[in-house]
Amino acid sequence: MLLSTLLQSYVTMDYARAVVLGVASVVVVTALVSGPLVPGVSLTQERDVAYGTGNVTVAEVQFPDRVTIERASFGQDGYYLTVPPATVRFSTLSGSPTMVYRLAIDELGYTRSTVHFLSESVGERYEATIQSDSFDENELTNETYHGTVGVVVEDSRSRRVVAERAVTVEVVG
Amino acid sequence: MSADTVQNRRFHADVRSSAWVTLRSVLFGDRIGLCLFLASLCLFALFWRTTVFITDTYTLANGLYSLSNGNVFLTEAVYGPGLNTPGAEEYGGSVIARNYGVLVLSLPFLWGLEALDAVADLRIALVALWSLVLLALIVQVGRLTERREVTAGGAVAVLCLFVSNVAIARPMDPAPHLHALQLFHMAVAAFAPVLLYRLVARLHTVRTGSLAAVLFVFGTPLAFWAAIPKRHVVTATVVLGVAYALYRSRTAADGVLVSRPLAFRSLSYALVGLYAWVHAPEALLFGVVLAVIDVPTAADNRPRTLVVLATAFALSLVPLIVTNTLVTGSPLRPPRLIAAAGESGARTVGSIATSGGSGRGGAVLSPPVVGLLEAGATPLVVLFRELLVGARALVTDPIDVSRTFVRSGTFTTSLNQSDGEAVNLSLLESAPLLAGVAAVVPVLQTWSRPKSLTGRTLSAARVTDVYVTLTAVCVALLYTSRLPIHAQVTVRYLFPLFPLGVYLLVRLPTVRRVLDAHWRAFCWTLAAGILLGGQLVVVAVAVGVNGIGAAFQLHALLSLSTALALSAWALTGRTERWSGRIGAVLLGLATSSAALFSILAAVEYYALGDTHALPMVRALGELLRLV
Repeated sequence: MLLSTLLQSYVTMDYARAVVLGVASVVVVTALVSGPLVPGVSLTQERDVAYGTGNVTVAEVQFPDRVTIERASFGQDGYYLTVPPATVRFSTLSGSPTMVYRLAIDELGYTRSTVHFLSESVGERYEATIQSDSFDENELTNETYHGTVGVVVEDSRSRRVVAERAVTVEVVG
Repeated sequence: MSADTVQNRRFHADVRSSAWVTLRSVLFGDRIGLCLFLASLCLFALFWRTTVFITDTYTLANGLYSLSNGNVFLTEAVYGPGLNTPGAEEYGGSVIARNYGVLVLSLPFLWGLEALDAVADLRIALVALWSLVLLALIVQVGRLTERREVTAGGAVAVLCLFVSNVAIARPMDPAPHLHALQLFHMAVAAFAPVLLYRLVARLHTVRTGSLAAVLFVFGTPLAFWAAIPKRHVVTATVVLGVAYALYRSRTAADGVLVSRPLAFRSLSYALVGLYAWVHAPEALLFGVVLAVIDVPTAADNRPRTLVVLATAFALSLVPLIVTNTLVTGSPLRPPRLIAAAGESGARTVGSIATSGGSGRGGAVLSPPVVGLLEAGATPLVVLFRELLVGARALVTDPIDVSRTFVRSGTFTTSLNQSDGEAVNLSLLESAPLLAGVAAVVPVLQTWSRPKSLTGRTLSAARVTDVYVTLTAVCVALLYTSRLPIHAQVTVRYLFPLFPLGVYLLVRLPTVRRVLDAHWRAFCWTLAAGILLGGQLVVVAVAVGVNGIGAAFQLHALLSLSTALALSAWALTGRTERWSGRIGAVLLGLATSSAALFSILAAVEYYALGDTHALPMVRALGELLRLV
């Protein structure tokens, strides 16, 4: 009698309820499996920590012709530095080396660089960027400045400058 | 025998379900309230970044660390550069934290996290928790709509989201005290839309109540601040709780467990008392406004009633008094006084009061009574002076005031101190839908002054309106003279103005009529504004903006333009046919503009090192590289 009641309740249990219970149990069991109760299972991918190691050879770097310092828009005062990306071609790339794309404007005593963390998934061609930066109006006296852009890589062998070039920095607006 | 067993099981199930229904109606009102709570929690978790956003959070996290080890003073800088982070204060040779109420109430969350950490990988556990809350929401929505397809389809969608999140999950940096604080704030913040819904649903309809909650969640920066351990979302929940309790204290007994008007009246005072444990100066303001409005308008002020209220208030102050005694050795001195300006004011006022007291009342009153009166009166005088200073700033500094309320732009006091970016929006730029309050003008034009004010008792709704309006005005005055300052993003000091403003907005007949008649147009505009408008904004930021300040100001101008259009419509006060539909669309646009800012700020502008709690949100942030 009891058994038949139980069976009946299973048969009539509506399918939506079954789906909900199923999903809930998958979620809970997955969480438990990820924990110390089940040793040896890890569901989170550890990020590569040993940056600046491996091996990288740069075949070619294409720098932008022109770097601009443009007046900011929408009610933000001052100027923003915009450095177009540099295109870097690798002939070899393994491990997790780092690459720095940098700009120096000697007249302003200014340098800015952005670090890029490379890995094999990057491919042969990479667009390196420099994060924008803001300038005060009174910092800028000239209409153009002489700047230098460069790319530095670091791998297991060494840290070295692979390309460098002079650019004109134009103040616009 | 077997029949009996079955009957017993059914009986237990009934008891269980009725206990659940009681709990649900006490906490959330009804099933829609519960849905709003769960939906808000899920949304806030999307915005959750598991790191420090404002440096004084270090103080709170270290405070919770010390407290969890049984120490009210800060013992060790587990978080941040040291113990002297903003918000920490030295007292008698020891360093104390702030917002002790928040710290104590976060302890259960800390224990919960530690328990989770013991049985599961914390990142996976949080993803699982989020999925389960979403699943609960789906089940409740399924019950509301009475459709199995909704439940089953939703559950499958949850499973997909869970699997995708786990697939790209990374380990979490351990910071249990910080995460406990963030979870506590999210939980408290999720009650704010529920309370607004319950209040408006009782005043009007369930639909208006639900729409008010939608306006609040999407149209103000609530979601942005929910997971940030600052007091602001707690303040919002408290003022809404007080408004709700005040309203219920003037309507007939109703509901389960807590039903009597006097119980609700006591609750309103108790909430204020409890909030003093978090931030005493603001609680003082709320308490004064509450007493000024409640006592003269109450139908029953018999001594017995007042004793009940005083007892409830006194009991709610016990945690504060215990904390003060532990920290400063004096039950009355709060660990943090109103501000540097207030403190100096207090000293002068105190000395004047002493000379006055010895001159006249000293002979009648015994010295301890004079001391007690002084201790009670001094903060009141300070508060009153602060409000006056704020009112004077309206006249003397109209430009600063307009920068706080209308248009921010670039100016030195609001710039981010480190890099000169204009990243602090004004009130209207943060919540453009508040411009709809302009619909009060047509109401006032047709308002006729009642013949006599004597002998009239205000209705429950009017009392609540007056309380909300006065609180909003006083909060604005309290901070006007100090604003704008840096690091407030969306004028967070005036955060209570967001929920109070939304309440006042839906109380206006023009807005309510439009929401009621054209809620579909509103909802579709909101959805399109976020999903389609969001893509346009992303493109505009990617193409036309090269710094975070300019991005913020783009959002500011976008919001202001929707605010301008909305206020123009609201001033006409017209709701018939096309004007009504236009009003609904404008409300939807203003709401989505604020939502877009919150979303992009949390996902992109302040990604804080891509520390989003949910892996899918982190991946979206990494995919978008805008500024």
